[in-house]
Amino acid sequence: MSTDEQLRTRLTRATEHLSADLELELSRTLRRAHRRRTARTAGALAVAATLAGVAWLGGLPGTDRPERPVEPARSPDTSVTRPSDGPSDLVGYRGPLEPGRYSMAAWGPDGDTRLPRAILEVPEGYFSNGGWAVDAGGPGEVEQFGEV
Amino acid sequence: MRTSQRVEYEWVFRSTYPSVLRTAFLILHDRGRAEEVTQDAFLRLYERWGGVIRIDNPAAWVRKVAARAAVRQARLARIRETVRPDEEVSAWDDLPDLDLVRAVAALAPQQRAAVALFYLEDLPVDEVAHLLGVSASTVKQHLYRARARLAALLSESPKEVTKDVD
Repeated sequence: MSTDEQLRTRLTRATEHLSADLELELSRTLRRAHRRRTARTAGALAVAATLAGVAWLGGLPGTDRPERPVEPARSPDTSVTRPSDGPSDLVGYRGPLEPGRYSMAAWGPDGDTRLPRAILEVPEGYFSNGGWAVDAGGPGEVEQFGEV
Repeated sequence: MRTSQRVEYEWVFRSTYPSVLRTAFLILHDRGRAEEVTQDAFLRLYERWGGVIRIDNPAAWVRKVAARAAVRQARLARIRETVRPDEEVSAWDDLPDLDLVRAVAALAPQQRAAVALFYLEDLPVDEVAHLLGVSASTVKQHLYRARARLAALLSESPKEVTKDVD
């Protein structure tokens, strides 16, 4: 028997014991694929929410709001409290934002929650009828909603 | 993934998984790591199935991914020298043809891969070269050196290991 024939025969024999339970391995692979797809979707949602929050704070280039005619600040709703000198925590804040400084927690692109709090400066004469959401919880959880 | 794609994927899985596992085992000589590498390769295949860039030969693709991953791991293991040779051998007590397995394990990772793909999977030199990402002449060198080292085990003189690798 030639060297090649010997190697083919003996290598086949040496690896015959590696028979696998194919159905078990297939189901494991499919389960892992499903878990990874679910985790990716949740991660993408969290990143999108974070970017939306950063853009809303004016942190991204090209996201400057178009200039609007300066109008007098609206009279504050009696249900809304004007913020004090220090930044007010946006957690639990409800109603249209008044000019002032606010602070909120921020997420990093990898879900890093150790970033410094973001500061939102709402200038005098600011007016918008948009909305915002901040994902402050786990993947897929949206904790804060507010109006601007 | 559509049902028809899922059926195709499962067919490729069932027909290719055993041979990919054997190849990974010959490269890594560790069943657990071979199973991990094999499953990771099939997982990546699943994620790319039906994607924008069509994989023309899924079986060859997954074999390539698994072989390259196994060679990388084998190289890292050699660099780290995390397992002493006697510890490795004791884990193989139940393996058939233990002498051959030890001899193959003593080869360099790329040589092991070339031996596994050429002899065990019966692939031509050109395809082995493509799977490993090297030239055909490099594969021939690997096979020549591997056969020279294995010749003593196979009870043939080194001068005889100059044929059949063309």
